[in-house]
Amino acid sequence: MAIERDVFGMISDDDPETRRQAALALGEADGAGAVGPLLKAVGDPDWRVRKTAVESLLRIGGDEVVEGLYRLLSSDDNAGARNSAAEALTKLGAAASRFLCSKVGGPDADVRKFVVDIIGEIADKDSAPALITALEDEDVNVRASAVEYLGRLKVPEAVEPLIGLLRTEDQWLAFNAAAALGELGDKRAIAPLLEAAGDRCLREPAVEALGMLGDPEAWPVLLDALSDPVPVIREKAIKGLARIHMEASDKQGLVDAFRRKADRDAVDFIIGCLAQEETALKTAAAYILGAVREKSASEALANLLLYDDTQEAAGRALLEIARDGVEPMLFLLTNEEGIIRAATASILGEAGDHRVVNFLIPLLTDEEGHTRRAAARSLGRLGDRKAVEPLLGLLRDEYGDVQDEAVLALGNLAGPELVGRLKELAQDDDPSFRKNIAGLVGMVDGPGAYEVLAGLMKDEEAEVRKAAVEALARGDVEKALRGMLTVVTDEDPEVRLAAVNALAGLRTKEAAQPLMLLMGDVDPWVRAAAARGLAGTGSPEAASLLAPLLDNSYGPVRIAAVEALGETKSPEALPVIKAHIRDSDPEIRKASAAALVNFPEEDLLGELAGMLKDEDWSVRLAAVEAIGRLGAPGSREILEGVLASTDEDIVKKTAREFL
Amino acid sequence: MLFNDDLIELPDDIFLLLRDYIRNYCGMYFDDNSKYMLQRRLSRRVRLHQFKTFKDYYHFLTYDRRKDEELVEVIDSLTTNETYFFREDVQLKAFTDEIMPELAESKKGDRRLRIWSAGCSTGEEPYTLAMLLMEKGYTSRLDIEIIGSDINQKVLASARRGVYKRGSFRSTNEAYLSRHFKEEQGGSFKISDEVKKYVSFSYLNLFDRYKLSFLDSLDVIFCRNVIIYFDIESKKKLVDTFYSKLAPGGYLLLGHAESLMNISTAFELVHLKNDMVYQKPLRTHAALPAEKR
Repeated sequence: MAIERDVFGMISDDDPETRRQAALALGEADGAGAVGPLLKAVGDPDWRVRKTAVESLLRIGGDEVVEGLYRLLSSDDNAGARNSAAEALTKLGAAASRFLCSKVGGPDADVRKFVVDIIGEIADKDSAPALITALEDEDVNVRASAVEYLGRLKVPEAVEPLIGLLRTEDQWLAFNAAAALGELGDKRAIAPLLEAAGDRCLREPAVEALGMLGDPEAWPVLLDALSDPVPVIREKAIKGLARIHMEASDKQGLVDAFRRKADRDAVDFIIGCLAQEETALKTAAAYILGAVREKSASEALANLLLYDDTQEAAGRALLEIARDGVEPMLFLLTNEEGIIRAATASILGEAGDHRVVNFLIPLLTDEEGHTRRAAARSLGRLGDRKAVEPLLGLLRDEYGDVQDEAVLALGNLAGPELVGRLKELAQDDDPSFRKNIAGLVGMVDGPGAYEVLAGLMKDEEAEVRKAAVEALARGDVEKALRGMLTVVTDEDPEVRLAAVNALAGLRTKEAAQPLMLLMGDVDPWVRAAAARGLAGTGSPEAASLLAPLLDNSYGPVRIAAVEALGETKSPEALPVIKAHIRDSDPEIRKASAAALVNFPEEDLLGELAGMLKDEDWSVRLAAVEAIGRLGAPGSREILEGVLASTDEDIVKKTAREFL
Repeated sequence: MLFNDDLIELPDDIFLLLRDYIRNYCGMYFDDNSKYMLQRRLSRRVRLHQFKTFKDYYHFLTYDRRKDEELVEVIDSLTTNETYFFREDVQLKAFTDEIMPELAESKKGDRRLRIWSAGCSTGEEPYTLAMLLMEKGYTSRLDIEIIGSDINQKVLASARRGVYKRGSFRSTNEAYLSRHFKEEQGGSFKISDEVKKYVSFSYLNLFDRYKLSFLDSLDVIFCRNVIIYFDIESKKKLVDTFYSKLAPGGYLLLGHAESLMNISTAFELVHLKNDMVYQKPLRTHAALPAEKR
């Protein structure tokens, strides 16, 4: 679109809104001559005009824009123009970076500093040589920026120059170099950083960097730093110790060294860090206190259970402490916070000390559902039968997930002798209770269990019948099959779906017939599950029965049919699958790519490579996965091509994993 | 995971597909760090439908005739955000002491003043605005209409009930509590009908142009701590919507950690005594022919 002459006048109008509109219009037009006026507008006194001009220039792009913006970096008298130009160049990315790399040796120190900052922010790996050159700049600010950005860039060639800077007389530069070496993560820096940690001025960044490198060689130095008079150094040491211990193979050796070296003050300081603001510090402190099993930290750790960002770390630390003995933790079971009671119940169950059973049973009547659930789970793990009766009471809990947990716990605890009792309980008036009884009968099994379940499969409530179906599937195959045949015509689709899933799980030829019947069910999810199940029965008729399902109008049924056809590995299935790699539905294309993996003898790379041009990234990902799984000759070259050409991180990552 | 062993595995590709699905529907964007939150909040939905994998659940959301109802449940699971009365009091002071006098002055013949609380959650914000305007006497001078909207049906039901627990009053002056609420059994407080009459609630997806068409000529839009959940493109779209819904000279009030930096230059940043706020310029006439803008 050509630019109206008016617009060039408007960019100099007195009214900022008019100038802003002009800057907007210049960016939207593709006429020549827009760049000059827009560069002028980058220096406008109104921030809205400057921002609009920058956005318009970004839209236009190209060498003229990059060079023009670079010139604006020299606008000594207009900070707004300079900052806006720097912002725009950063947003232009690699194109600007390539140009600016040739300007690191420019005459003006302020401009060189801008250039290094912009290159650094863009973080194009190709800019490393320019940043290394800037380490020699005569201006200290330029050098300091180069150091910082080389750390972020993580290129190995920066390691030696940065190590060299540790010994420079300029403390500021050396400080930044130590920090950058931590970011870089190269083990060559360990020895120089250990030496730097002895220098009062470099101690803080060196301790932090050693922690980031995570090497056990730094353990004694970081233990020393726990007694440093400067709190921030102690905090950095804690983070480093946590990281080193996490990655170490000889963890016990590190713990022993900690116990020998760290005094009460050091331990108390770590406990104090649990109450600090910073999450990373709190989780590192929790980790270390758990690793050294510091009993006196229990209460402070328990407080961290209340927060999402620290709950897991605190829980793991408490679990470690509990492994040395549960006594320091029992008092937490009566804490006023339900979350702490629940978490402690989980931790004690995980620790596996049977002495806690008597403390956990009262929690089954706790006022909070989370606590009752956690107690039930732990009692199930601990396996003490004295919990059976209290747990049976929980089958009537107001919350479904608490009931489910009680069923699982009882299934772990009780044996076949309970079946007789459950038969009586199956007559209860409460359908939820009967549902739970069904689940439990399936778990304890034993003589008479089938009869109880057969009765519950005729229950008036669908949820009870469904639970009975699921329970039956866990037992004897023959009985399960017999039972399923009575419910495949149930009026409730949820029950039929449970029956289909149960039949599919049996993976026997005998299940094929009812599954074929259910492939014609009115509910699409039942049909889809039946199709998947049929493939697992090994029925020779499966492929011919599954193929027509692809004409179905419902996506999940078609997806299931493709997946199932693949699973049959039948020669009859292959052409059907191949015919659908260009289906209009991307989910079918993906399922087809995955299904082809079942035919490793066939030459399918051509078909799959064609799918790498699909418009949908998830289809391209499915093709990459299939190519990787097939591992056929030629796969490597294709995956290398994907790595070089794709923009999607997830596709690249998957290709890289297979390579 | 020590405390979350009932989570269903969420593969990266399905996370990305779910994320795009939600973004296309309502603009909410979940970055990679939010994957665990999504997994934790949606695993229950996956199990509820008897699915074993998130992939099957994604297919359910894509194909099933009940997908719209399920999407409501998904959004309800992901968007419950805690709020409270008189949140960000400095900004509220700017609203009552600086913005309102100017707007009231500008309302010469027309007494109607419309305020939109976009993303109002359980209603604390629109009710706060109503109480403030009552206390300052604006409700007797102007026809005040406050519209609270949210995409979460559960929080809207709660907003309509107007019953709150103590946690909602952490910044509330006791005088407001006694004048505008009635204590109920169990330590809850119910908002008075007098306040309620100025507030209406709407179930609105901020990206649903059709449903947004009834909102127009607004004087103030409060959209606080909402746009942080959107990606940059969705933010731009949303702020464009706000611009078009505001009357010239109308105000947009964002959360204290939010700004229009890199989102829009269409609004003017106004430095008030109590806060900085955004205003749609009074002069919004076309400086260029419409087709050039």
